[in-house]
Amino acid sequence: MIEVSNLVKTYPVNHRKELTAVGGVSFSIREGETLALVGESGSGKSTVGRCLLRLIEPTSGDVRYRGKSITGLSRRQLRPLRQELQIVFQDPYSAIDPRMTIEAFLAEPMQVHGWARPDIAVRVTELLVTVDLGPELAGRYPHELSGGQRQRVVIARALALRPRLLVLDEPVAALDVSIQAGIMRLLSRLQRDQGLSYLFIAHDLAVVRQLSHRVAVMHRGLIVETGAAKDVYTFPRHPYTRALLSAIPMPDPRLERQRKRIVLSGDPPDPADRIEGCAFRSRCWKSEEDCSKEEPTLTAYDTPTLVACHHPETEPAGIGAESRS
Amino acid sequence: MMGPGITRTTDGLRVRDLTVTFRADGRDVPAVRGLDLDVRPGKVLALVGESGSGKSASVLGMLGLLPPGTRTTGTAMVNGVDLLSLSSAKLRRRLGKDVAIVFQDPMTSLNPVHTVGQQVAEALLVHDQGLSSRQARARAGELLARVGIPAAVRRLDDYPHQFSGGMRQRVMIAIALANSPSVLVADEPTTALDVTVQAQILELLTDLCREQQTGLVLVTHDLGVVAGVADDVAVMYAGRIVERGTVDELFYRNSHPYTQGLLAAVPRIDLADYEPEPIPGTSRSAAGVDVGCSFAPRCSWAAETCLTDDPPLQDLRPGHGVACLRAETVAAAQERKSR
Repeated sequence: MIEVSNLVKTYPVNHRKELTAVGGVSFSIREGETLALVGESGSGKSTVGRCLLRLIEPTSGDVRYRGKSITGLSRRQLRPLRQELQIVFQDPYSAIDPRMTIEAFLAEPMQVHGWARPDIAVRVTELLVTVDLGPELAGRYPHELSGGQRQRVVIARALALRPRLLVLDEPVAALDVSIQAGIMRLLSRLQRDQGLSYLFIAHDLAVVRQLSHRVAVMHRGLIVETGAAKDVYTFPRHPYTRALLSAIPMPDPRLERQRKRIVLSGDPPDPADRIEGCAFRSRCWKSEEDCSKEEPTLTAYDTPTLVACHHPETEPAGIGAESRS
Repeated sequence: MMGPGITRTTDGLRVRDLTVTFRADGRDVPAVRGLDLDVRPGKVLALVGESGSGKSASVLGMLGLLPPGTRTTGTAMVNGVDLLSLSSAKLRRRLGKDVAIVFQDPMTSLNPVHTVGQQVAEALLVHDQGLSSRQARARAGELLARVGIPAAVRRLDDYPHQFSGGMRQRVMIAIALANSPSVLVADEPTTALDVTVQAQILELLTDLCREQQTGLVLVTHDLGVVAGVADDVAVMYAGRIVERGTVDELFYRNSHPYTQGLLAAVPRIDLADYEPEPIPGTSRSAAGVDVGCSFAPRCSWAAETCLTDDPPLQDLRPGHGVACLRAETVAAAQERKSR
């Protein structure tokens, strides 16, 4: 349904240096599917999400929606597509104008797209019910709502124009854990009921596990591993994917005591530095001479995931993805 | 920091009946209601709760760090001194020496216009007037090396912005542990960091504290972190401890419906088909509580009495306290389920 090829976004740092936020990323998302785009801060995952909707203009590369390129479209030509592609941001506190009632906030996109007033009123009620909020919330102001309720309102607004794809940019990261689970369930139900596609951007592989069909792991502007969710979680081949999985603590003291956690040494490299070869090699326990010479590209080995690594892991992962080698 | 092999005589931290009340719009707003805590030397106590539970207000309150206008009562004993009975001048002399604190955001905790070396040295000089500035600088270099900063001595003259987030948090830990405090409070110390860096910092923090017998109070919302590093756990809800015990008691024999709900809500990296369960309703702070159990409106076990009677924190087993009128019933159901 949506196809991204060789997406690049660079920012000038000064007249000599350039920061590559996204360095050539390709993926596709099918109808009714969730692709989890996972990475640490500075990996470029949010930039990809914004480029997809052209909230940021990509430097180069192509985004095709239902076979049609949207990168070359003018603002006006883009407008009908805006209905079909929507985004939900992380922070439900800053997403809603504090002076607007919930009703006005939900109605806004429909007004912009020229809906008739009675249709808008019906749709607002419908939307509130869809996200499990009572219609009586319509007249309230955002400060009267909890964080979880606000995020439901933000999701409701994203649904107003009946989109087909949602970019979910860390939609539960700012919420308490007891509230997160409810939002994840809601997203799962909406996808089932409406056949929505999701690009789910996250820093936490645990949070997206239940919802994702496929996973793409980003590191320093590139996808370093991608595949079906079950393969990425049980047989990750890139050392970075293993480190990410291994770093996530599990709420089980006995398992935690048994784990041999991969603790990466050092810090992620500065995004503005140019690195020859593999960008992960300074923190990688498997790196060899060839890693500093040639940049690895996504390659299919004899296992189901695609991995950009010269020395991928060869054994399935243990609990929490500890390396056995 | 002391070298290895040196032990200290200390009883850790003992907090009794701590209450914190904020003043807002001319009204008293309770944040912490009657908190008891014991932090053992060299052990990690995790103080767990969601936003509004009062966990940060508790630790700031016991260190006397809340703004004027806040009313804090109770006692917080460290090395035979009640921190809450001290004048602010006397308290300042204790902070850093008997108790120290590390905050979430290493970006705002360091002074941007002073070098990192100056800031670590200052922490030493404040509590040791006999130290020359050259000695302090040398000690600062040792401390930075100790917390794992590469080429530490060379980096003494660098400014905070030249360090990454993880490295800044290491500097904060060096400052906090500079005078070998009996107790260190770490308020969400890794929440602002990337997950791969989080693991490094937690390991550093707990290793150093165990080594020098510092009791660590780790304030966190992350039950995975708790399972990995805590010895003891206290779960807070609406300004109170609702359950406390050793880490294994809390994870495997938990008996408060809120603790159970919290655990069931955590997403699992190791289970493919696990669907986390939300806790119904909205979490409340201590401000909204009048009578009865504050969790009762969200609790599937709640009985009539829960809405009217205050549940005291009572030992269900030695060392395992639960504040729930129906604790025994809940515990029995949990036993059956885990069997």
